[in-house]
Amino acid sequence: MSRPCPLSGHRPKVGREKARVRVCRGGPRRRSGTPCLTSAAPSVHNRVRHGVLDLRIAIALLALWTLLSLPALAVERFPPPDFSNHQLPVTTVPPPQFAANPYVDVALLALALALASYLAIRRRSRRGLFLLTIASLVWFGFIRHGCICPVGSIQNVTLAIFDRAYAVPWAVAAFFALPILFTLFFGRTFCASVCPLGAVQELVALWPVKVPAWVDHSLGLLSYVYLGLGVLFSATGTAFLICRYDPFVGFFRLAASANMLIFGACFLVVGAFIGRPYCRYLCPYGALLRLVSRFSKWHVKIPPDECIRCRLCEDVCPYGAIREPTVATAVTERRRGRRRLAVLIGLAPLWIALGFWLGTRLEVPLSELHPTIRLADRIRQEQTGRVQGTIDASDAFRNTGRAPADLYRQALALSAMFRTAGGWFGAWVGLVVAAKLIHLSIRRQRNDYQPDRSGCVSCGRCFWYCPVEQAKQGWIQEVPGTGPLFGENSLPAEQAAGRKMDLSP
Amino acid sequence: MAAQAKPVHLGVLIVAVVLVAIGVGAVAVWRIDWLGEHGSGLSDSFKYDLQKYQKIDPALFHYHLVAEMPIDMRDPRAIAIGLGDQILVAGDKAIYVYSPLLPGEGTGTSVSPRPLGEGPGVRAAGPTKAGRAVDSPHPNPLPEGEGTTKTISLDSEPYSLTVGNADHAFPGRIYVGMWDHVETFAPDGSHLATWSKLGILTSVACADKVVFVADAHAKVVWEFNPDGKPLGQIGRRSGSRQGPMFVVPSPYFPIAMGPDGLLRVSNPGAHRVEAFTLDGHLELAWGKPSERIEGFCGCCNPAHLAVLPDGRIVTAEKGIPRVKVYSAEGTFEGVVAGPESLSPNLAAATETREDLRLHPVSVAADSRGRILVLDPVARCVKIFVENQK
Repeated sequence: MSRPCPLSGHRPKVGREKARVRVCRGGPRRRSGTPCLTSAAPSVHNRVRHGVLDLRIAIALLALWTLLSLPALAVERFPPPDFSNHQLPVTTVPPPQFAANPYVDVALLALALALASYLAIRRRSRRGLFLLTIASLVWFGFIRHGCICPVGSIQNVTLAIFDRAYAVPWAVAAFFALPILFTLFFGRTFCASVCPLGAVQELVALWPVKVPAWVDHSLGLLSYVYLGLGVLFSATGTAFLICRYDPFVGFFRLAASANMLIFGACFLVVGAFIGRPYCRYLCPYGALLRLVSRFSKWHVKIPPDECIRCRLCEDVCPYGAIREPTVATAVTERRRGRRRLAVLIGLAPLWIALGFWLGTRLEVPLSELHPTIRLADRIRQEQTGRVQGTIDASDAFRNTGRAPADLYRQALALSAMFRTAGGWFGAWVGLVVAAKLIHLSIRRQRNDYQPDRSGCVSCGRCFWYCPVEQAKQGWIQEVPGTGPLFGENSLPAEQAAGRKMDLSP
Repeated sequence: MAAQAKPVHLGVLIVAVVLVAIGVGAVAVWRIDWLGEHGSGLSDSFKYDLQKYQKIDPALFHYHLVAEMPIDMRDPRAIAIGLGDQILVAGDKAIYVYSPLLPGEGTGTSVSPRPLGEGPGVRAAGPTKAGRAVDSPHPNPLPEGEGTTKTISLDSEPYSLTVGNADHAFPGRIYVGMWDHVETFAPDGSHLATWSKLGILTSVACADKVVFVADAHAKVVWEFNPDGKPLGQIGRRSGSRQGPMFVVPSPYFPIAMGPDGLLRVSNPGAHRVEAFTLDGHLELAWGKPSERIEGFCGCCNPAHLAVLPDGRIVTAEKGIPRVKVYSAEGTFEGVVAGPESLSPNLAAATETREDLRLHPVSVAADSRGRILVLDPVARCVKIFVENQK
């Protein structure tokens, strides 16, 4: 049973209380069995105050967003349809595009990345990151309409590699490269508060729940599969799939089909309970940054000094990106683990080969997305009477006067290309699965709670909840007689990891 | 004892909400119709019908069709008039050079439209000869004899074309606008130079000592000397040149040089034609957006320009295909061709894909005031002459 705070009467949640109990009772120099809830009371106020602030801002933004999204169903036409009582509006000449836009965009992106890195690594300011998140959402999202964005730039870069006739704009190339460069040095600070897609999900993550590890790991593979599909379809000139199914760009542009708006709204609903579902399970650029972030030179640390293993960070991280300390294992277990790892490494080529073979079987479903193959199929169906009537694409094809045989030949050549491309896609998926299995089998040594370098988006939520951080900021004080709050690890690693602590007061 | 209702566990509720949201989202994605194969779902009252805009008052036609010259190209894109009224057509990685029309051709009202490839005075490119020339690995299979068709092979697709007139520093020199650069050829077809890469080139025009190149990517008109040395730009605000910025939403940004020494530039997004001096100062502008015949409709028109020997301007529009004549100051004078006399496919509003997009008609005017309209769908040049008053 939790005790109320003697200052405010607020009764903290049981989970939090457990954490505080551990802080004081588990220390090696414990002198009293009394839980030091008093010392934590100011931080509870802080959290409640900031939590309410977060919630209010998020609700206000959500309401504003919804209102702004209402005109999104409108469709612009020219000349306008001839309605009976419709007054034709005066035609306006669109102003020329601001020529400096690309320069401004790239400069602002670099500035935002630098600021996010500074706030996350140096200042450790959750408030600053949160404000920057809102600013990025406004500029890169609503003002620049979610375009250009690094997520979609993967496709531009891919197309430029495979199609010599396509020249990727320098600003798009910069948007692709800059976040990767910053991630290489500072971790995923782009995801923290620069990406508008991440920003909107950050704001709606109001009641995050823990996703079971096996679900998290399994769904995490989807982003690599999506990355492979995005590369495949852009390399073959089929479509920019990632942009096409961007769930939030319709809100940013205030224009999308009803289905896309529903799709985006569903993501937001899911995002209220599962932190950043798009970033964690679908975002292909996030998949790239995850890989790069493993090798980042610097990365956010949860406690500014020494970890006291209170587990608060693990509780509050909505993205499941905190890794607990490891426990020592027996020699036999380690030997078994090494054998397992060797087997998985040995099996990796088989996974890749199997993936390649299966990928070549995907020739038909993959190629059906290509507009030329779809068109050839449609023309064939119209010619053989399998479908009645025509569609815009078949009308447009007949307008050109081209012979259907030409189209069929072109479609067959493309289909053969998709067989090969599907094989490479399958090999990529096989490689991802093999790498994941190997990754899970590698034993790592951790003495403290640490952010997972690949999964942590550097949002800084854990800063606010870390007692070491709070004490350093002067938000809480040590209670005399309860021993030092930090300076030495207060909870043995085995107990912290095994969660076998006696929680009774 | 009454059985107590078991409270719904919060976790179960959250899982249910998440699963429902995922299900609804999946259905929404599945129902997205990117290619419009399921139609709009709207009633006929929302139908986007351009028919009434395509009807033109017959009294407004000041020109009539007198002949058609078939072009043996899969994708003809540009037309220009050379020295002595030679006709040059660019497309399919080649330029076909045709002999001038006979002096009497098309000058009398008695000449009526003929089937493709027939009739005196119109010398059609021989299909076999032209086809062999295009496929030939030799760069310049020229010449084949005076009065017959010449072919200049190109490395890639041409998009625009102009020929230096008698007042040009190099009369008869051919300037070809490729996708991103200009290639120049001597009058005999020999390759002279490849200029440095620019953006998306849509049109080329030349004055006495200057060559203008319209760039739809940079939204400026570049000025070069005949050897390809950059001299300046029109359309970018700098220093004393306070010219307007061009609004170019699509790769149709035509220019044409007039006998009055002014360069006509289409500002397609603004639906205007603007006239500039050779040093880049705006002299006059005319044109307004309108579905009416005297205006320009659609997103961006006019799509091609030509100048008659007397200084009047010929405009060609896409979307609703129309070729019209304006005075040098922009007063609407009459119609040369409308949807009725051009390929019906050109009026099709269904341009769903880039590779199925129909290029608009291209126009040129010869020294006798005949207007040559390149119809890319019918793959022919249609020759129009002015009605006798």
